[in-house]
Amino acid sequence: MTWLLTRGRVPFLCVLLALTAFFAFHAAQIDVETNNESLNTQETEQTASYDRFKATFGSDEDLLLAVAHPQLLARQGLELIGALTARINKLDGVHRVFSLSNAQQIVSGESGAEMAPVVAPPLADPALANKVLAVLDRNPDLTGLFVSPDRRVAGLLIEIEDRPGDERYRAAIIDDLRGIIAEPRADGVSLYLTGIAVQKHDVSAFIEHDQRLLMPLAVVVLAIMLAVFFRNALGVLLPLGVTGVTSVWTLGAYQLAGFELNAITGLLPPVLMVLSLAVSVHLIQGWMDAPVGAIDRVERILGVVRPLVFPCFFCSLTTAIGFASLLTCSMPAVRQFGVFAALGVMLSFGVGMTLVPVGLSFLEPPTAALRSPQHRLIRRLLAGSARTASDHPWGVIAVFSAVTVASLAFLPFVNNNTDLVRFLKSAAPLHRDTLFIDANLTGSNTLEFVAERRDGAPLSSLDAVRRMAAFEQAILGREHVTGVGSIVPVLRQLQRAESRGGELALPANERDAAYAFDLLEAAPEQDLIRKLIAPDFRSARFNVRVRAVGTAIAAPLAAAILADGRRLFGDDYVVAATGAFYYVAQDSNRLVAAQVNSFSLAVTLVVLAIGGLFRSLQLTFIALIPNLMPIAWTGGLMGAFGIDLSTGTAMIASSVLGLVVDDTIHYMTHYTRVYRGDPTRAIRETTEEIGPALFLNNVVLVLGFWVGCFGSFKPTIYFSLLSGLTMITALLCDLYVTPACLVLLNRRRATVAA
Amino acid sequence: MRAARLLPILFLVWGSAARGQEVAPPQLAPWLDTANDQIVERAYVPSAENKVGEVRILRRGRATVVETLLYTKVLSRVVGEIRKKELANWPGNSDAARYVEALERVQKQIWSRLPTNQRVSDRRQKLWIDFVVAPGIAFVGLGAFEMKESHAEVRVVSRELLALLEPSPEYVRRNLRLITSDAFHIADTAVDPLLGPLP
Repeated sequence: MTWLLTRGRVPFLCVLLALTAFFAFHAAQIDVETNNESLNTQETEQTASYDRFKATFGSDEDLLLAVAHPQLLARQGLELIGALTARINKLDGVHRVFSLSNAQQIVSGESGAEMAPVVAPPLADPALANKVLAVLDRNPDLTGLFVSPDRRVAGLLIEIEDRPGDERYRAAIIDDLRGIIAEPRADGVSLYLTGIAVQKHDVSAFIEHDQRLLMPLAVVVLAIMLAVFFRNALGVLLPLGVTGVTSVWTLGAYQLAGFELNAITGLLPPVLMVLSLAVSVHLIQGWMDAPVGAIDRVERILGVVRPLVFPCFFCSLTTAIGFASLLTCSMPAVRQFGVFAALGVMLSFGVGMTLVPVGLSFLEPPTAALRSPQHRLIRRLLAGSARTASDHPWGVIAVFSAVTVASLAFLPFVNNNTDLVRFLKSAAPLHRDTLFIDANLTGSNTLEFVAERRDGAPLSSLDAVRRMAAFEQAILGREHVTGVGSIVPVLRQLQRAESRGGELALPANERDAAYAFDLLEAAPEQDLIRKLIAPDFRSARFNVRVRAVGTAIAAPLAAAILADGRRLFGDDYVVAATGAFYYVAQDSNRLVAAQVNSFSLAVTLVVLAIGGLFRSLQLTFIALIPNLMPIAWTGGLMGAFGIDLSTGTAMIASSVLGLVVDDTIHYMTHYTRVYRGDPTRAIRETTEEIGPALFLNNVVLVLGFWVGCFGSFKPTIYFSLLSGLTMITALLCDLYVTPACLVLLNRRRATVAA
Repeated sequence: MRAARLLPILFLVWGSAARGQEVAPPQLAPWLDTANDQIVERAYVPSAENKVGEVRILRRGRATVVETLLYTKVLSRVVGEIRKKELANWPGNSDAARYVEALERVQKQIWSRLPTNQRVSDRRQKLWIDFVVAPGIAFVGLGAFEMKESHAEVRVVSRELLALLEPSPEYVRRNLRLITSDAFHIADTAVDPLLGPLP
């Protein structure tokens, strides 16, 4: 270290600069993920099942454009729908557009069932609106997807081509559609767009926006906080230098590992900036508080570094352990976040422990300890906490335990819910459009179910048709379901047309059923039919449109529908659930389960690390209490305020545990060093000497985390907000509960000794 | 004794099979014999991608035959289309009306033979129509057939005559041209090279 602080300073800085330039080059090349792939878990069976579904029925990622028009079924409204349909059909990457203007109905013709347009030209026909209304009344299946029940909103279903490897064409389509939506229109006419592809597009755009906003904001906030506390350029530049180097190295490594930023790892830059401050803050605070004048500048730095190396290393290690425990999660985005946050923490330890001393070695030590007004206030507050904890340890334990018990009571109210639409702020176009479509047209989410016979036989028998119809009715009876797309309504229309009857009905007998499937096989609209039933009729799709609900509702709904399917189809059939939305619901449940494992792992590893550091069961136990309490409080707060456990908030416990335990380690390490038999005195000394650094470090961490509140996604906003809150409550616990426990431990030892 | 008991049943079965069958008069029977048919040209209808059958131009001895082989699950639809075209080509013509009536009767007869209570592996209904012009003879034959397929090539293995019509020779000759023109997607003037000089 002495060499580093003297002759090694310049070579060290040269190597550091070279490495930083290398990683900066790669960090600048990080792309933003455009397909949200890393937010899906890597379950092999799930992926294979979804791939099979898409191979048979095509993608379930259609877009839905809604057109609100005061005279929808009059000439103006129908002309607009026709024009939009034709225009969107021509966009590159759009396979087909289905709307009222090209929708077909099945009618009785000379030779039986035949197709006829729902809207038959000429559009100038004054009786057209009534004719269309009659068609819609005769074909209730058209209502919901193509037209609202009040006939004021029309839906255009936009089927996008599947172009593997091309990540840009979907974005181009959505940009074009948003351009069409933004065009000026007559009074009362408005357009709305939703769909999974829009969601992916907007998430990518928000990540890029957040990167542009959060990074500079984090730098500004940290610089201001450091300037307020240290009141000199050194106290700002050195920690920011460590932060910058750590962030650049970690992000460069992230890019070199082949990853792209996603909704979760988009938080990495600001989180890294915050995490990498702790070592610098402790070193600079120690350097500034060191005794004045007696020793030279190198000795002064070494005197600060030596006692801090061990606790700082353990703090970094426990923080890294907390983040690394996220590796147990099956969602790649969370794993990437955990791994690279852990890497960043360990890098920041290495960089902080070298760059800060080297930086300090260029400076003259201060001639007097910093004593600003805010420092005096902080010291008074700290002295008060030390006094309270020492004088009334049982009272402190009682109050904090009461809050913990109250929090635990709210814990069962925490709802496991991932709501992709409500992840976005209410002003976001996707949020607004989706809820409009959901309220006026049809459910914006879809659950997919596939039914097959176990023996592989086609589903064209009368028995199979009746079972499919029973399943369809059972689904329609479920709350939150707005419609079911399947082959059953088509069979009903065919039967009505073939039998020249007036009512929709299923095929009456085996021959009718078989003939209906013959007609389907020979029908010209094979594209549409293939979206509902496999070409060989061996598997049938049930596309269940569901209101814009979160996974807390969707997951049990899917399970209930599956149970209906298995009951109604019987043992000879296989019914399976699939689709993008279904897997989001499944992933949400898996994520929470994984977080429980991750948290358990983090606690175990942190206990082992603290146990290794203090080599005392009692001290290890005491160290755990002030760290588990704030996490329980945060859980209770989520339950009390209805904050959902989702992709972002599920990471809080594991991530924050490693951070909050740092203060305890610093506190207890210092306490054990200054303890000479009088716990009260040791506590007052400890609080006075390392309290300001802990306070400053926590304020910086909290404000750094809260920068994330300016992000675009609610899970990351909640992650930032609650992580910051947990840091505050953890500091309170460290300043009150830890010393109170230490006093009580000392009394117990004294009693045992007596 | 056992054979004697089975006889009535055998008669019953034979009787039901023979009920719709047509027997060709002796003067026409040779022109229905396909043993030495020579295929001049053929085309899938309505197209090779979406075929419901095919139209063949044949030489059967000195006769020119335009044979339509329909093999489709939706025979009633195809017959409906033929009916539309026929009535459009021959408005008010009694020969056309009789032909359409016979065609629909044969279609129903073939449809009725499909099992009603189970799904068979091949639900295609197979119907043949021959427009035959030979020296001094012009007639139309309709019936059911069985076939074998190899590499998308259809080979008729048996035919059953279910209806026989003897309309005016002009009707038969004109329909030969109309069917050829429609099936091969060629103008009426381009039909002659395919059909050759009609007897």
